[in-house]
Amino acid sequence: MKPKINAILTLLLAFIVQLTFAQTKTVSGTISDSSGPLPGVVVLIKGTKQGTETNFDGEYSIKVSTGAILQISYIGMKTVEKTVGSANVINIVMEEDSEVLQEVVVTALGISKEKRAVGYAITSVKGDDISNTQAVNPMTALQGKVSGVEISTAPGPGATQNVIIRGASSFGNNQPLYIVDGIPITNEQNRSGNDLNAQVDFGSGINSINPNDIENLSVLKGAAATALYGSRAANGVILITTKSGKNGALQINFDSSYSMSRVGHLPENQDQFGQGWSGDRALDENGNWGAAYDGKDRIWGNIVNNSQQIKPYVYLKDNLRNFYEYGENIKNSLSLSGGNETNTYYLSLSQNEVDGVIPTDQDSYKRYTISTRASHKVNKLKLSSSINFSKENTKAVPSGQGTSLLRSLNEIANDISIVDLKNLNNPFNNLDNYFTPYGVNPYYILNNDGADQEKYKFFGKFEVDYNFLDNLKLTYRFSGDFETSLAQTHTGIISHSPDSPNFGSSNETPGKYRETRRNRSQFSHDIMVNYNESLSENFDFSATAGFNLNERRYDWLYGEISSIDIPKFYNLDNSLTPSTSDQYKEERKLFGAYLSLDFNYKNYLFLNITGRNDWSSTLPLENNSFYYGGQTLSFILTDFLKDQDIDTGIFSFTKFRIAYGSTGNDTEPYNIYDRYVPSFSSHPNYPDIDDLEFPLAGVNSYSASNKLGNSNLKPEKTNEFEVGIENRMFNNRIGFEFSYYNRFTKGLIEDLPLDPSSGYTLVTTNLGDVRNKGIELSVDVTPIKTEDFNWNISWVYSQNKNKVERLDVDEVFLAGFGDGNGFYAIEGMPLGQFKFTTSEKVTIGNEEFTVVDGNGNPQQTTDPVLLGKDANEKYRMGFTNTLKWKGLSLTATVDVRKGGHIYSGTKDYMHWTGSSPESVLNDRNAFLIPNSVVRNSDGSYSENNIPVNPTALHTFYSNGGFEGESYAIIDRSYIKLRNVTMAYAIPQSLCKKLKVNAINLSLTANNFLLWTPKENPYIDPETTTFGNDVDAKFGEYNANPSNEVYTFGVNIKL
Amino acid sequence: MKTYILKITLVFLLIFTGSCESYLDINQNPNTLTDTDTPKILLPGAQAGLGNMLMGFDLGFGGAFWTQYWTQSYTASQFKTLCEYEATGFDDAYQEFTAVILNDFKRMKVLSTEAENQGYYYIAETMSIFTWQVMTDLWGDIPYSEALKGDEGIISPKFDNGEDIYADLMTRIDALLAIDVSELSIDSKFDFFYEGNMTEWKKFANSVKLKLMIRQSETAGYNNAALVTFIQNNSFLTNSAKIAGTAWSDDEEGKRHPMREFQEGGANYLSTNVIGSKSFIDYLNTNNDPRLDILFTAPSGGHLGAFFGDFDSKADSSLSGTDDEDEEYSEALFTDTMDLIVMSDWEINFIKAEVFARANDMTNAKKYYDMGVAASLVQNTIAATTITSTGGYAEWNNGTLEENLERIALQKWVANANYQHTESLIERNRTKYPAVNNIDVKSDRNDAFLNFPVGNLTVSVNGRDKTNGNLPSSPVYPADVLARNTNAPSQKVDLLEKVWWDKKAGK
Repeated sequence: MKPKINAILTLLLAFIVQLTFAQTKTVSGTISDSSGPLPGVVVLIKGTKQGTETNFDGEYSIKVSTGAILQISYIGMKTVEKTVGSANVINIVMEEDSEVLQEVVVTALGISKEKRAVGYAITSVKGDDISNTQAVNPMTALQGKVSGVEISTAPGPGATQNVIIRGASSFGNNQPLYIVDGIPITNEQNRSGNDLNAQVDFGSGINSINPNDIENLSVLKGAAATALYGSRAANGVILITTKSGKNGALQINFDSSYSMSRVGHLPENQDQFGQGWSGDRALDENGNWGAAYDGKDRIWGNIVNNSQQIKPYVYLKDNLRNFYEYGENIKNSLSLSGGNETNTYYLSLSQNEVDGVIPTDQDSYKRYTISTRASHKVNKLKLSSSINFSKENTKAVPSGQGTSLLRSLNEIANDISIVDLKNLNNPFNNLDNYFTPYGVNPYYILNNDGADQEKYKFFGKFEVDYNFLDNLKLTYRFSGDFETSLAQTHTGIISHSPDSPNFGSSNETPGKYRETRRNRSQFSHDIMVNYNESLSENFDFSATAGFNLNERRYDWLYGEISSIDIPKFYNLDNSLTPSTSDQYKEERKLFGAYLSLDFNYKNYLFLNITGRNDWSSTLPLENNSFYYGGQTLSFILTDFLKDQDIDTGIFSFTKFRIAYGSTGNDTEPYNIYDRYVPSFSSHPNYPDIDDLEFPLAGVNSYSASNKLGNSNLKPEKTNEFEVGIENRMFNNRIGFEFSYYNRFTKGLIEDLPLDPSSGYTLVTTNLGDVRNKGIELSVDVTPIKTEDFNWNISWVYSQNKNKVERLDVDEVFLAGFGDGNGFYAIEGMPLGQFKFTTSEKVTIGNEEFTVVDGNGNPQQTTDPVLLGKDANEKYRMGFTNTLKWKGLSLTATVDVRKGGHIYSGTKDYMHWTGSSPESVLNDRNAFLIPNSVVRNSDGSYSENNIPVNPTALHTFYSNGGFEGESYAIIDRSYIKLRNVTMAYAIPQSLCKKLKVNAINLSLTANNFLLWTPKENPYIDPETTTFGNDVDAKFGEYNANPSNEVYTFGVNIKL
Repeated sequence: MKTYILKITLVFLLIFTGSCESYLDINQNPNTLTDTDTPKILLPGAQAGLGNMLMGFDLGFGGAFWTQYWTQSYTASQFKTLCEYEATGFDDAYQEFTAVILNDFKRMKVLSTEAENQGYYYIAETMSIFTWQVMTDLWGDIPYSEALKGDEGIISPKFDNGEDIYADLMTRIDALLAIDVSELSIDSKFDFFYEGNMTEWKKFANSVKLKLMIRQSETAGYNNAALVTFIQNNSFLTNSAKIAGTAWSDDEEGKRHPMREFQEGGANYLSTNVIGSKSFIDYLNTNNDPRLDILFTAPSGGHLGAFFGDFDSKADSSLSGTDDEDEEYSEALFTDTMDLIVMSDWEINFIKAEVFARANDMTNAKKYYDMGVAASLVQNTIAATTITSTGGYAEWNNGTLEENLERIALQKWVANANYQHTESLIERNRTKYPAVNNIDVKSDRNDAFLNFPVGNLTVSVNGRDKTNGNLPSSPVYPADVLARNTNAPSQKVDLLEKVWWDKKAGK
């Protein structure tokens, strides 16, 4: 670490020394705006405190050296910077500061447009706003700031960012398409294990982007906005433009930050009962079902060498919290850029090292990036290139069932100090003598199990622009993204000495090791022709036509051994049984042709028409072509009125927009044809059990696939209608933007589970239709704006209503458990309905009774029932408050989510271990289920008089208590103080002494306050272990807890 | 200007349109076998799959619990729901039987149109009939006539009633038995059961028919004389249809006997979840049956079984000074070369014994009964047949018909342990032996311990109220079937619904 910083500093010093100063002279001129000369305009030599003001006639004069930059600023006007050249007279015409009115946004295909001309909702975020949050990964920075976009992320360092724009409209893939400088980015998640077992999230492709490289990020939400990107953009597009070199002197930017993190939200525990089972204190148990705490010194654990440990029998507060340590993150980023009339260049390097809150560096993330961009102009030809390289190392602690770290921690009763178990050389703590045979010392797990990935990503482009004429341009772009990763996961040996207390424990394992190589690549060729023409004085026209060819490949190969011979040596040879291996590869191609026409009338009426046809390799050959497109209209009322010489009063800018568009979408490869797969016979229900596999006794075998081929598959189509209004008032002090959209996805392609009686278990088919409609609102207000002090409030609000309008079947299982408890799509209801078994109810007379079994416990329903709870929120919103006083600024973002439900495996598990706060009802004495009845053999019911057995409360609670299995579905609402940033720009005078252009310091705190409803004392409701798609909304299964992060950052501009 | 556009467009059209079709034709999955013309490659998987379904998850466990070879241990919980009669559909087994095993038999038949492949057709059809019988014996009325036709567009096959399914299975087996097998042959390497010996397969087919016939013993249409004739005029299997224990590689994951996989693979089901049930252990122990030590590992204090379906008990039923939950119980034992049996030689002998007993032909009844017990002892590596000799507890004694039926059924119950748990469950439904004793363990545990009804089953201690004092008869419908099939009937009320041939009075 240290040598690197030194190297960077040396480099910086070298640049500083090279800076030289030129000759001094006097420059004068007049400053005016469209209505005439401006008095009192500040003219400052940039980077100094030297300056002057214009006189009553708008004239100024200043002594300055050539090459220096004059900074001309005036309230309500855009600040102008002018480099002093050979001229001695510099006259400036200032423009009204209506930044938003002139805002330029990047739209589909990277075409920059004035935002006013755009007929659909587009949100643009500046690079600085992203890097200022000090987020390691770019999408995290947008949480709570962009309306209509849901961003959630798993807690581990380097984890995947799950982004859903305008609600889920697919049962499967809902992730947007990421485009960086015209390069489509592979953003698949790399993952080990599965939803329930040894789950490891190694992050996705977008994680490799250095946030400091981002100049601008645009979110294209609707179908009309994304149609030109073709079928891949059906879920929206995140368009990232990175920084590039500009004509001018060398610019050096250096960012550095140090963060500290600590474990965030942890579940609440009951504090009345300690270790034991069935109500008795039992020294070998892994639950809190023991006797009430009495504070007396008592022996605990196993007898080792004729001695036993002693400790007070009391509840230990913060027992779990103390296990975690402070994590840290060191970030450095350096960029160099510059250029001249014909050449520009940009080079950036970044380094990022995160060590998470779990002791040791078993949860860590290291990322190194290099980016270069260059362009060269020769007459009508412009060549440009972009090359980006990243290396990411992710180490993660697997979550889920079995002896996972979190389960091991959860299974320690709250009277046993976790940190005291740390010393594994202590004979009481080692594997043989650890206090329970049902669990394993978590510190042992930490060193024994592990998962890490090394990933290299390389993406870039080569682009040629040729201007045949001033208004006719041809662009050819070749772009590619290649990533390769090597992941290894291992479970070490757990064994016990034959005479030890834990011998024969079911946790014993011969260990396991797997190494997986994954490659993903995609290559695109784009050819585009741009043409524009003024048809008349008031009427402009432009057209873009193009072809796009996209090829994607994915393959993996793994080798595995399922027993380890020599401990701690993880190699495929280190096993007494032969290693096994498996492989997969896929390839898909897409070809598209498109046309986009723009008409502009008097700069207040804009019409855009786009059309695209795609041919996809994943659809049936005779059905693989599909056409779609969109039309948008934007009308700027204020400009229209001004054109008619009508005063718009307090309204600075009012725009109405309307859009209708459609996008088509293809499917994953290999859904069309029937096939034979290697034969195996399933052994379900437990993670460590392998299916019965071939070859067996020297014979191999195949089986007809359970997946039915579907040669009638058609592309799915999304139609979206959208209207919006954008309004700014009181000279830009108050503004709002409102959108309404109605998106209908027809013929949704999804796996339809089949009744196995049909001979098949699933078919990929056009299953149904889903509608998402909603509103997005963003408001910003600047209540105070003076020269020194500025207060800005912004509020974003989104509401999405999702409905499965048609489904060919009653329901589709989306995620959950093998017994049918899970998360479904059901016709007529929002996507993601929870169906779980629950306590059986019966209505006798007018009263509802709980049916109990013969032991006084609620009887569970035979099959899962619909709970009337779904994953979708009522609304989400974010508030951002920014206060600026001179160089000091304070920003805070609060993120609110209301409504929706989530499955919490943590709650489920805490009910099993008896640590949940709900498990101390009636002080664990016997109680009768209120209003309960038993079913008699003749089908009638009689009143229940058997109380819940106090010695079997673990059964009562682990079956869900009063509610049955459905009890683990809890409210998903939260309020989060997402981000607080205090930033300070060092005064120019000091900067000058230090010979730098600017120094900015910042202090940032992320995620440090979280409010959840009373129903959820368990988890951070954003946590997920179910991948990065619709499934991710299902919930968490013993996920690691989330973190709070505190960052100190420095930014230096040379 | 216009010429530019024209030229550019022309160039692209030339490049792309010409080769577009073949360029996009890359959608055959390279990871799987696209097609095959040989049925043999499907056979080993289907045979092993069938064996696994009958003795693995769910039914290897479900059968062992419901016929009380085993019960859930006091301190673990994996199989509690099965042992307290919570409704189960055995969903995994249903799916594997239909979408994997039966579908592969169907595919084998489709691929066997050529004359040289008729051997595969014969095997696939026999095993298909065998499997369908298991299906309807377990779940009762199920999709049959329209089943396995997803590729023909039928994704919600209609349900047929069990009796109709039986009638069709009888028609199918008769048609099959009309085929002359002497000309048929297959590649011996791909046949785990009989190494391509078609004469053996003919015997297997006869045995399948015999089993279809005897299952109807309690129905109105049953004609015992027809079975006597059928037995006298045909030959039946003398070698169990099985994956021989030599096929396993016990030190490799996924290549072990299924029960070994559940133990050795890391789940430790047999050592931590499964303990011997008192119903079975006491029967073998009281009678000094030598199979006890082969089927179970004895704890240091000698064999001990637990009350069936007893959890959360703080009591000391034996008054030994140790609570029930802390006692050491007998553990189920599977060796690394355990055979995985689909149809056994003892099973056929016991059916024959029963048919002759019903015909009051005591000579033949005794003969086949003794052969059945002997076959079981041999399977358990025991040479001595003293238990059926004079004075042995299992001696044939020409009793009344009911006594004879019980004697056969009890020996079948013992013989099926560790080998045919599914068959054990189905046959108990038919014969109602071992009989059920009504003893309420909870009301006086010590009395229940001391005066345990040896040779009977008991009702699960904790499941008593769920089935109103009855044993479960059949699984409910799997959720996957009910939810995905628009022609599905409503769910069964509980586990007490009986299949059509389950007519005998008794629990």
